[in-house]
Amino acid sequence: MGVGYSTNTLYDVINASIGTPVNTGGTADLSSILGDFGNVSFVSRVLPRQYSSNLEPVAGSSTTESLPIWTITGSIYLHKLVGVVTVAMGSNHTAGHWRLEDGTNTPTVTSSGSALSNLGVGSICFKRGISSSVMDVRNSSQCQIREAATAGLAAVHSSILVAKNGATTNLVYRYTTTNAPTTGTLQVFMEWEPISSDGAITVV
Amino acid sequence: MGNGYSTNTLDSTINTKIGTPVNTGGTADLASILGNPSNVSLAARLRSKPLTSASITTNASNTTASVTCFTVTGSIYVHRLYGVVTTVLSSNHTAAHWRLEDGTNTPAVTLATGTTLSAATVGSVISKNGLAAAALTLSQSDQARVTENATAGIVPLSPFVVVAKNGATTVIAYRYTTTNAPATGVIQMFLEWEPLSADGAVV
Repeated sequence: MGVGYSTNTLYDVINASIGTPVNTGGTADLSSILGDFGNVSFVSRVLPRQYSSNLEPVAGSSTTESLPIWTITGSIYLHKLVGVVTVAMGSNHTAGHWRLEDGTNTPTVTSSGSALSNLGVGSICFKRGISSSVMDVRNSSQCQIREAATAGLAAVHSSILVAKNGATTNLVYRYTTTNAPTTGTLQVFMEWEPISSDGAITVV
Repeated sequence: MGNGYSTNTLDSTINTKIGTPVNTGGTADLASILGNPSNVSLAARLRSKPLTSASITTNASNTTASVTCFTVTGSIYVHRLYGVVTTVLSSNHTAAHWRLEDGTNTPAVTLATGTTLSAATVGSVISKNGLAAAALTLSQSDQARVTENATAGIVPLSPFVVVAKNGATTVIAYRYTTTNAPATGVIQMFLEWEPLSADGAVV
């Protein structure tokens, strides 16, 4: 696995955390032992980082458009935001970026400005820097390594996303094309976790 | 999935490690198999970084007040300290910050001159995003917001180490000033931590 932890480490942590089972007279029922499965899986309860992906076909015609990817509720911690080209992008695909939209406000997650024109399958874009920086685009036409500008720092940049209270807040992919229409598909991945009690995402 | 991980893979890996439950004749009841459930859920036991939360009511009357959020024993490593407003805060809620209190000493967790949280809406997030010399960050939920460290590659929610005073009660307190009589509002505080010393704990 390539995200900073290994299965063995995870297994060791779980083993260490479980410890030796001892019945000291607890009388709780099964639901209180295992927690509420009504909303989330057991694995997601144990491993707070969750993963979601959404396929975003890009088919705008001589326009600038926003494609809603996820609706965000409450507050979440965004660990990683990555897009992978699964269908080659058309020419004239510019100003690609992610931002929040709550119906009124549009704070950037990455700044506008990256060109994804003609990117082949397997190319990626990701949030590498702060919200005023453009997304980092890596073309799969050649092998590449990408890392932080300073040793010891993460190669991706994490954020806290706060939804507008009482309004729908979407994380969107926004781009501009002069093609009529443009083509391509971007599969967007997000590694996240809730930080408020109602923190959640829903695929749009 | 193309980025080196997937929930399905993780699920499968854990399932493989757990294996298939087989009754080989044991007679232990569920509690002794899963551990003592009287104190904490299995999910909480499996988390390597406990997440403790406490809701505090901000109802001081025309004064500066400290409200205990968590009591710390021994030494702990705090991964994250933040709060979420669950009942709107009243006006004139200023100089908000966290600090330790051991009965005598009050080292800052965030800058004591603090941040103004007046009328912070439900869902607003306050967080420690820098050193103790920096004020806590307010991410107001009156609009969608992105909060992050100003330097790429540095995560938000800055970690720190807490050492409790030996022989005395040490707390992480939320402190603020109000000129209202009284102020109103509720903040749910969250602390993600792990013990450093054998007696490291949070209540």
